[in-house]
Amino acid sequence: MILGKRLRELLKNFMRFGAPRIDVMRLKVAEPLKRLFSPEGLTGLCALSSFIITMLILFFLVQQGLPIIQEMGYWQYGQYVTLLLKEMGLSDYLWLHALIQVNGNIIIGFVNFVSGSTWDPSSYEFGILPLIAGTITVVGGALIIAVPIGILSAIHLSEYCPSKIRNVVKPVIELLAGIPSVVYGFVGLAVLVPYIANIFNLRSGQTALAGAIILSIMILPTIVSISEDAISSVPKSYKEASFALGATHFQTVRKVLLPAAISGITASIILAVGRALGETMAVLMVCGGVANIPPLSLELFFTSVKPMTAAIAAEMGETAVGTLHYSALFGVGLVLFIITYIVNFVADTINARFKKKFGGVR
Amino acid sequence: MIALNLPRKKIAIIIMFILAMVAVSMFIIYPVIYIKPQADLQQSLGLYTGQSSDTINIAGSTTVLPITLAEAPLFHAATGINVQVSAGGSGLGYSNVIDRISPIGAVSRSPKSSELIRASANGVTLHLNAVALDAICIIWNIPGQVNLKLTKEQVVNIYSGVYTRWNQVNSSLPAETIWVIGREPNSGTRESFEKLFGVSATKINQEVTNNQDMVFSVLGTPYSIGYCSFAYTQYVNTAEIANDSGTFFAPTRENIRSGAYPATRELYYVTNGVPIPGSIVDMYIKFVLSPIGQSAVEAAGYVAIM
Amino acid sequence: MKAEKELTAVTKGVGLGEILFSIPTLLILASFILIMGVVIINGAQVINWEFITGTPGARMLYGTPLGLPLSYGGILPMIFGTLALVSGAICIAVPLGILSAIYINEYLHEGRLKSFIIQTISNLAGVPSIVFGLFAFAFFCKQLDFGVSLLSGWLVLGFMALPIIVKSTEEALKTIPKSFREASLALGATKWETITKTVLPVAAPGISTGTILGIGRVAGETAAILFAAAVFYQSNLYPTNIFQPVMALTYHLYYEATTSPFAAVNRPYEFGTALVLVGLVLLFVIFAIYIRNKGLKRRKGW
Repeated sequence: MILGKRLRELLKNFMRFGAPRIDVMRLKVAEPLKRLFSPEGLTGLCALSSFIITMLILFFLVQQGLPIIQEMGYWQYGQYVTLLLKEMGLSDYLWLHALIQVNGNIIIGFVNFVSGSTWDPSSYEFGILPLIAGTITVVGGALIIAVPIGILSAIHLSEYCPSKIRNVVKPVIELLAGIPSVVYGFVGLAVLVPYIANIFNLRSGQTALAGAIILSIMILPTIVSISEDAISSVPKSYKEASFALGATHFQTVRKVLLPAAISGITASIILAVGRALGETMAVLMVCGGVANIPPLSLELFFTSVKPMTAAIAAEMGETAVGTLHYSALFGVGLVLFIITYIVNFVADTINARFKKKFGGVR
Repeated sequence: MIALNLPRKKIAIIIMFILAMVAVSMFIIYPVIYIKPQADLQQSLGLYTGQSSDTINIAGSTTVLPITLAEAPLFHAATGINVQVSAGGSGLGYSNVIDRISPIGAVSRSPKSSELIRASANGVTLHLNAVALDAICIIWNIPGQVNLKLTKEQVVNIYSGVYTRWNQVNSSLPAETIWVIGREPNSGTRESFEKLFGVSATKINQEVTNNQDMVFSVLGTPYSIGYCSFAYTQYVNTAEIANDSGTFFAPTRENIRSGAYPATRELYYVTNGVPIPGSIVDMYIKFVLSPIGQSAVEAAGYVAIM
Repeated sequence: MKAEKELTAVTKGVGLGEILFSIPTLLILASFILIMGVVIINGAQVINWEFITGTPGARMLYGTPLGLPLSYGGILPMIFGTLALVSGAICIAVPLGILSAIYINEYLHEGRLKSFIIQTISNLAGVPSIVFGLFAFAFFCKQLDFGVSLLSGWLVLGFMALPIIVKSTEEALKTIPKSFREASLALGATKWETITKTVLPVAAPGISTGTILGIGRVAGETAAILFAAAVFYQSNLYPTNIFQPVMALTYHLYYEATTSPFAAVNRPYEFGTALVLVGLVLLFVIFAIYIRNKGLKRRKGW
């Protein structure tokens, strides 16, 4: 026969009436279908949604950011044409060469994009090194302020603080985490910036210092609460043993508890870094927005900077869709996404190791 | 037949799930497959893609923004049309019209050559409708000074870095360094300033992004100089500028209205071609040019053009 | 737990360590009091019935260029806009989030897939909000052609709240002892019945906490709606359909403080807006903390 043996059997099964039949469809299609439409399958689809969202974000960032990367992959050509046009006084026509679709090497383009040291969209210079330097300055400053205060405060809350006061202070610190970032930025703009201008005799108080201070207040709750959890979840036997050997409280904290909780504390710091890197509105309002690489001198924190997030938020409103500037902003977004992904990945790994060691919080 | 052998409850869940998926996909797909009205029909109504017949989206210059915001409630009260207002700079105002995102944009300068080329490449004719008069005022902060008279040449020299101290401008002024404040590159006010005063290269100490910031910075920095639009000059000192024949004029309403002040400019709404009579855009422009609209322009701090 | 005495050092009393270590905590408390104090003191001056229930007035729109005393009006449309955005976002995030957390916690076995999904969720939680805003603009506003609209705002804010709800639901489900599920299964319930009838009601406080924390985060979100959902002013103050933009509290505060030409003139009113925003958000956060503490107290009895 033309039809195969299995197919003939299938047809025979279909044709039978009334008799119990082995239903091939049930085994091959209905079973997985049943599993899909069971509670397990449906909730599994929901769980898949977060993965789909992440992939969608990545897809659109790459799709919209590709033009600038391709353009800069042909860097020498683009740079030459830009210089030529500027020399001839035709800067008005710089946008023309952006129309020319150059399919440059993506890797070279990405490297040029990230390492270019001028960010001047109106002259078609899209190097994001000043933006990265701005982010690093502000986040670094915030960490310098927040990490010591946060860890010491966590030690205080978990070890030294009477529990009645702790029950009041911990919710207050969580309230601090709940305040919207625009309010932080606004209070910084209205109160902190004039204050800094007054104290340090600057023209404008919108500096990296203001950004670092505001950002440090914003990441403190993260550091304090997670570190406090980490220190509290060190098993009591460690403390008991240390006291039994005659150590004072301070020595116990310093030599036993801190080293034991170091994984959790490190995870909290890295999570705080992640949060600080992604912070937009507060740094947008207080950092000044001048895209220059701050000088590595005593003036480092007294110059105006433009972090990556602030650059995107500020310039997106005045960019036309589809221009090279638009694509460059998506490129900055892509770089941000990659950086925060790496930071989160590292934090998760450390967190997992810590949980394995101590089995969760009290 | 597929014998699924499912109890009724599970079948119900499956049916509900399928219905939900269909509903969700209709929700998402509907705007995409929605057949948009013909282009000419839309244009005759002054509509563009993404706009319904009772909305109009006006984005653009922050200088024109107070005017748009003063007109919007009045226009809405008169016609019931929803006016959506946002900022973004004259560059964005032009881009919106050129890329056919909106039929109208607010701009404070005439188009650059690149914008004209892009417009003609897109089949768009940029038509400027002047609705208000504005002036570029030079604002200054010199402690102890009461007034300041400047020629256009002196302003050019200050902004290009030829004069670095106030006593170079005028020997009666103190010998302090001039702190020069300018606007960001996308600013229409900056374009107008550079065109009206003939400034080509600028060497500035500080860049601000809007008129109010400019006023603030000048007020807060001794020995500074800046430029801003007329509507923001209520609390700051303005300089008297000399016209071509050497007479100094202060930027007052009368001087601007009569054209005596030598650095006046017009504020525009840019449209795609002349507004078609009866379209929303035409209604709006006519409203702004009417007595009610012009009094709103005056209330917003600018000078009426009619 | 209460029976165990707190293990402290042998030396009692307030020593140098206690004082030294309490300084950072006091610093944090001081900064909190400072920020809240500034907002409350400056904002309370302008909070009155007209501010909360009125509509935008002349002073908000074009300042006081002629020196005339114009009225600021009120921010009711902005409050409505924020609440509208939040409710839609929660409607998207809560079902998705609870179901995802149920799957992760109840159905998945420990292994690479489970840790991968958990990592994806915490990665989504860490994505900067401005990147969400870019994504919303490119996907919802341009690709799906919703434009700057309430719908785009719902979707992007829902996606931002999703990780929070998943995480807190997961935590809540994890703390329920296995004996609950085992008892229910032993009595003949199916797995799904166990989850919905036994486990979820007990985990309800934790889930509510997560939802309300998610609401708090979404209500205070600016960067995501900056170019996807919000507009500074539209003349019919409330969106008539979901494809129109909204006026939101956070965007209003940002705009008034930075982009608006009249930031200085309207400074007291900006503090008022900040106070309303902080009040709204902190109300949610305090409520969430209260529910969580009540749930914790109940759990101690197990």
